Amino acid sequence: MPSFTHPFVVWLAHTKFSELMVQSKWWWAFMMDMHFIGLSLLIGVIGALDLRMLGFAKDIPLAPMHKLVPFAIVGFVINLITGVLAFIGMPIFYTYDTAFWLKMFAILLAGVNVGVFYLTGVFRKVEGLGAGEDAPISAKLIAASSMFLWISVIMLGRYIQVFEDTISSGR
Amino acid sequence: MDVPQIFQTIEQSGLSTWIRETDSLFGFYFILALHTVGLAMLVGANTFVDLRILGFGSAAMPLKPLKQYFSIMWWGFAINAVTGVFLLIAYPTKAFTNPMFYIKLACIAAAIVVMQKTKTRVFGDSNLSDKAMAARGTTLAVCSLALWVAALTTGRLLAYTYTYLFYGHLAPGG
Repeated sequence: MPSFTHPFVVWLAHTKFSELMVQSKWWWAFMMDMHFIGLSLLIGVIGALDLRMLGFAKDIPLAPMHKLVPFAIVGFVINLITGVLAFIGMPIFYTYDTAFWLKMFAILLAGVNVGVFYLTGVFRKVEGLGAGEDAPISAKLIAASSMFLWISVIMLGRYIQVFEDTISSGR
Repeated sequence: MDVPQIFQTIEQSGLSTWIRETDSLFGFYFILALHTVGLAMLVGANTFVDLRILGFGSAAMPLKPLKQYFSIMWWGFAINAVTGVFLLIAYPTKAFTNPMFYIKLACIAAAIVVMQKTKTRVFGDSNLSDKAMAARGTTLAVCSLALWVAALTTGRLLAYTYTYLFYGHLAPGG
């Protein structure tokens, strides 16, 4: 970790807001509960879309499935908010945890994957996919990457507890 | 009521001890991680079908083909049943002496019953129109979503409500 992070992280850990996040275990439980609900929405919709591109349940046209993406976005936003609040609550714990940063990296890659999907014209190719039609290989690669990355995010999240204190604070 | 000795026996077994104490990355947290992946499959797939039944994306998404998602739900359930058993082998006292655990199992059982009922009621008659199919599943879909939220919540609460970490050992601060 760069040396300037430690004073910032310690400062954050001592703010009133940080202490508020960890004051009640029921609040923490609620945030984590919302985090799981968010992931279910995200995986449910994106998983269905990815699987369709990979050839599962091909008799469903793709465009109407894509209409459910807002639910996935809601799931992601729920997790972004609860994630940020959790980080603020335990900044030292997360900052020096390898699994946490690997998880963030996987989310970043998933974001890049989404960018590639929409910005390089692949979405336009699959938008009109009718019942029974196969997605092009570019879409399959993006869909497979998406599934792999989001499953990695889930698993890395569970390993955060294991990798506590695995990064040196460089003090 | 005394805590049954069988839990101590299980905890002292080689398998239980290995799951909890191994340095390998494939111990307790791997099983827990797979449990989360399983729930994402089960709850995620069921949520997708429930949303469609409730009308979201219904304009051009045929309902009949969504029957295929039940196989994903059952695979997710299978993963969680197996990983769940291993989690129980690791911490039997912790789970079985926690009333919240039984509430969680009840929520899951109810959600699975609703899931099966949805499959037979909504997708059972292939002669029905999509609209007629969906109409048969509205209440079930709402119950499904509510029950899965309850299952996730009670599951999450397990970590905050247990009395014993091990046989004869109270939770820290308990």
